[in-house]
Amino acid sequence: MSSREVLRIVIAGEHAPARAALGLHLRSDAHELVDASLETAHAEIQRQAPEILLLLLPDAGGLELLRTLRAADGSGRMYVIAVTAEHQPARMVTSAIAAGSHDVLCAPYTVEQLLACVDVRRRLGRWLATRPREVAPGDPAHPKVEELRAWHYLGDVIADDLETMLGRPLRITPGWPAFTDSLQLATITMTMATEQLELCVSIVADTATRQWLGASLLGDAAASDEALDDVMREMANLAGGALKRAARAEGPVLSTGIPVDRRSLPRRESGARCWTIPIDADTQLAVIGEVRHRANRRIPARGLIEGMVVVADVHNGLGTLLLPSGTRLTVTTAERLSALLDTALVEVSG
Amino acid sequence: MPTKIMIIDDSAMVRTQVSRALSGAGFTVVEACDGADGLEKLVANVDVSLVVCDVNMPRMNGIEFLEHVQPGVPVVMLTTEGQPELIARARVLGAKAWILKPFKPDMLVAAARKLTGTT
Repeated sequence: MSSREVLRIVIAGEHAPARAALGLHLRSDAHELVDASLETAHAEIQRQAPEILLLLLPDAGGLELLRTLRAADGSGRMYVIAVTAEHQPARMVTSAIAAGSHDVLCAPYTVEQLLACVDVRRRLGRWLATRPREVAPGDPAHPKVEELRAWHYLGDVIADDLETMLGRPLRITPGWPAFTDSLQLATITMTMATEQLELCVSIVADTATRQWLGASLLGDAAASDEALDDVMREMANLAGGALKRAARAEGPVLSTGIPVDRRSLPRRESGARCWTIPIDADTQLAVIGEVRHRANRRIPARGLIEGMVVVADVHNGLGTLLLPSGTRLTVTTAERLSALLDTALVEVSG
Repeated sequence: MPTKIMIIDDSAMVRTQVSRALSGAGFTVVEACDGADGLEKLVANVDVSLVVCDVNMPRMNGIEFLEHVQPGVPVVMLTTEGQPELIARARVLGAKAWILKPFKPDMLVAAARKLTGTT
């Protein structure tokens, strides 16, 4: 149809024949097509600024490419359609969405289905043209943390990173763990100061699971409690990083804290959500996500301490920017600001 | 003499994993637990050819470390962070590469070899 908007589409994947087949289907719809391997895709996308990325999965590195692209440009303007090969686990769909894909086309699919997916972007483009292009944090239209897709799919968002860390495929399912005794938690807190919210992601394990972690990650089934606490904190750190990158793809920037140890599960009635990861008959990990509301405060700079997050840009008396908003204070930064600003008020969360 | 690399991370597990990967490739590894510790240990280890540094750490983070470290020692950031502003800031401060955790040992070793000019 000649009146149709021509879209620039990058087709990316490792297998040239599969890319060529997709291109053949799309040529009938008169689009501008760019063929790219996973190696060249990033550069092509930078150069071409396509409206659509068709990404072949599960090619190694495909999801990684998508996360990198989303981390680099959180606007989400490039519409991404993941195209999976046949016989892919259902989790591939949620992994692709969690990584920043708008739609997933599962093989076997028809040409009509492919064109229909592309057409969604065309309609979306017309709708977006009537909307303001930028939405500032704090604006009512800005996505709330609790509405983030990345938060909704937290289990899948972190599964890939945990799989890489543990070196084995994982099955992650919603639900609370069966274990209740000798639980140890490592919790990382991410702050969205403008919304006065904190997101807490916890890794939960009992004694048997911690021993398994020691054997798997440290090569020592009898690793000390201190070493195992450190392993769990690093797992929480990975989980936080994965969530932060996925959230960024939807707009919000979260400030990440340092993981800490906890000894008790959050109450289920608090609205916390949980996923379990069975390892074997005796061991299972759990991942818990909680949202906490925390009001911001204005305090003198000399009262600043490590872990606080500054809510607005901090300037000195000459108007020079000292610290951008969203920065989580380290000991060094807190001391530096205290010395420079003394009694001046700084708005912080945490 | 083996090329010396410093790993700065507040996680002992990450330090162990990085040390294993780099030692296995023939490098000597010095460990530090945060940016301030890294700066102190660099004074006693002037022959360090590369620093692998986390971003989020207590006391002194990786960006603050870049602000303080003497120019000349290449620094690779190894972190879960992917924020473009942070990556740009690190580049301005001289970071040579940005590797996301969880890292693949082969990739880290390849980056270390490239930046230290070893084969």
